Amino acid sequence: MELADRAVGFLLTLVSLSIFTYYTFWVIILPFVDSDHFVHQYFLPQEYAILIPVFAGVVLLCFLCVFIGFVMLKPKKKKA
Amino acid sequence: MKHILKIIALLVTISAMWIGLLEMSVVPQNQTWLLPIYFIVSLGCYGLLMVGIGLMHFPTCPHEAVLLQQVFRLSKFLKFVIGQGSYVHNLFRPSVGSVSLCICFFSFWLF
Repeated sequence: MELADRAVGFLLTLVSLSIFTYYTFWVIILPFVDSDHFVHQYFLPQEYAILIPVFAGVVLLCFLCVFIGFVMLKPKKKKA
Repeated sequence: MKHILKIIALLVTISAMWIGLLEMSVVPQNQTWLLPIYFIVSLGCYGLLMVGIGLMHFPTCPHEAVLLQQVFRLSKFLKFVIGQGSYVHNLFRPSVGSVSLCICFFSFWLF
């Protein structure tokens, strides 16, 4: 099913590019825009630009640790 | 090696600029971690982008897949024949020529 592969790959590229452009705009360009410009209502306040990636990173780390612990604690089947 | 050195030099210059901007209070102190987090997020995005592009250009080789299926069928048939041959060997001994004839006919049928 190469079409499904292609669709998933295309989706991934779109998601990554959109995240990158949104984040770049948010962090780099927005501080230089006047505070009463209309485009500010499409972006969260600046503190969230630090909080959201850090939160996502911590969640990822916790998930990894839980997963590793889960795999290590699973009882191994003994060969009869 | 030189590529990594170039990237490390670039990172060092950018972080030096950032620390200089911090010290001169151009950037407020509560936003020190903006630059490292921006780099980490862009690195993650770059990884996702490379995975997506690799997926889109993945070669599936349909012609080779068909050939591989034929190899599987031939090997299954051969195992079957040789199994039968060891059973028949207990009853009587077939000539080598008859077994090779069977293989030739089957391969003509396959291709």
